[in-house]
Amino acid sequence: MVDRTGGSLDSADDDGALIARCVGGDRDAFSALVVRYQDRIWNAVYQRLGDAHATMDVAQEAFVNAYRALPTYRSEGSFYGWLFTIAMNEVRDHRRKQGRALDKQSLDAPRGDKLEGRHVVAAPDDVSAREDEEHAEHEVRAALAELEDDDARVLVLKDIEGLPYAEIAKLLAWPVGQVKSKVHRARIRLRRKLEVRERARAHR
Amino acid sequence: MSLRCDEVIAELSAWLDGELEAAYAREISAHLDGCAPCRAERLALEGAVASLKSLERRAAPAGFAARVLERVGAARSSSEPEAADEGPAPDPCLLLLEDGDLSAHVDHELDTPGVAAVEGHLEGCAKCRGEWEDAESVSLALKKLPHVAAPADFGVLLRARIDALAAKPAAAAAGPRIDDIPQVRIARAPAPAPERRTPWWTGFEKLGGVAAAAMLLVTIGVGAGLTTPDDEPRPWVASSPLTDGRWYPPPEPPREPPDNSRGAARAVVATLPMLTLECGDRNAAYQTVVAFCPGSDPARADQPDRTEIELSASPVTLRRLVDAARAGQVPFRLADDAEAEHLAPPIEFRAVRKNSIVEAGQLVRQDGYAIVLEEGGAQVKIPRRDLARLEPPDTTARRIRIILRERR
Repeated sequence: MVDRTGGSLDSADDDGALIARCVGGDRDAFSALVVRYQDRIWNAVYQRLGDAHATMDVAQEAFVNAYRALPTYRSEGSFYGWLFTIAMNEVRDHRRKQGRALDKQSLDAPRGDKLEGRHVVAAPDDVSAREDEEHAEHEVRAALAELEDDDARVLVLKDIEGLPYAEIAKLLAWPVGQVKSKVHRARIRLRRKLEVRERARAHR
Repeated sequence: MSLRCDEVIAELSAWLDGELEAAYAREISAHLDGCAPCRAERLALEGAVASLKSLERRAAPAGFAARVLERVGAARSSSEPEAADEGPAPDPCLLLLEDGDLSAHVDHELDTPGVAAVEGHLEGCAKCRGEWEDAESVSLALKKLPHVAAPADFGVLLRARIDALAAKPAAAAAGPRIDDIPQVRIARAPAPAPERRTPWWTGFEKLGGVAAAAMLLVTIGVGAGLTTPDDEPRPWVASSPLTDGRWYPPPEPPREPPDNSRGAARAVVATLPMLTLECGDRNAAYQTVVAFCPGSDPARADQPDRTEIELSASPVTLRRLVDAARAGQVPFRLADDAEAEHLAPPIEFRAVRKNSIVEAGQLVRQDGYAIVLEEGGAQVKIPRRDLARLEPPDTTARRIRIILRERR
């Protein structure tokens, strides 16, 4: 049966117990892991792909692959870090497969797509402000999509998930110093991409 | 375990910057107390840092900053993203960039001396100030992206796939490394194959058994015209009342004997989301119907706008489905009402008496002495001694056809 008791859902110990149950063939335990991490994974993938359809594919693939690979999971690292890596590899493969052109197309497609999942933040009343905001969001996501894989990963963890450097270092198994310099470089690169997009728009 | 000199030297810079973990920093302090060569190294390094800092201060006369800022701004907007190669001289700006301290400052990840050092530098260095502002603005822009949660059906669809996966233990056997995990992808439908082919759903009945009452697999045999060439949009998905235009990966393409000539033609193209049956308790969340679209069905080429799906389910689920369809609670109708009635018989037990008389009905009660069946409001009590056998309801999965949409 699925454990719906709530309680210490965030503890890594609990992850470990659930993982052990999954490996033992308990699919309900895996469902519990999915429930725990689906929103984070969805958000991370969505912000990188900017497309709900692709996100559905990629996020599902990530969980399915995680399920398959669970027997090889070693509990030294954090489970989320492992899952995140699988998901980001999945994003990378997806993009490789689709080709940059297609990604760009989907990101530049007209909005009005109702399938972006549930927005956690309520939309402001002012319509034009909302439009501006949507445009800004779109630009940021599009620029993020143009970033190299490592850069995008680290920014997702730092600015979108809001994790401290130490946590990111643990998740990615990098030294903290590397996280620090990566975050900065990635931000500067993203900034340049945004500037390029802004200029391109001004010329249009 | 004491530290070696080379280890201490390697960490000296970080130690001076207060970037080390407290315990480790104490170890280094202890080593320095007892090691003259390392102390000398420390002094030299401190001297270098101090001279760099003093260099910065000299390089930042008042009034100069604004002018530089403008020029840097102009230069930045026309230059390449990568930081230009500043030459071999130790450039404090470059060091700051390499270390990522500017972003660390944005993120409040620096300790007090670190903050002081960065702020001191920023005061006098327009270039770094611009860079710091850039980092902050980008960080802010990313933080402003609304968080998007997984759609409500995500877990359900995933569960269906995991169940399907578990039904094929071979697939999950050997543990691949993360990067080696075979990819299951949405297969785009190739052009409809005119040849007769094995029904694509072959093999799914077994699955239905494994997934048991928990979930219901819907298989779709769709009209021709549902398959479009690779580069065309698939308008039918968006227009179907049951779909929202989403494309879902298939739970697992049906495993069938390889058929090199026509194998691709059976590729699962998409899954349609949700005929969620609002029946049963909360756990009935898994009673969601996952529909697969196999591509076009040449046999129905004359009815391109008719989307008929065939679903396979236990009689219990079918019963609910039929009732829901008749009550208009679901956005589809039954293809054949009579057939539906036949396929989804009432769930009843059959008690065969020793004299061969058969009683049928809902099982109300059973104990060591008798069983009680109820049929049409009337209860029949059959003593155990009269009972030859009790047959449970037929729960084998069966198929029913329903019509998703039909354009006239």
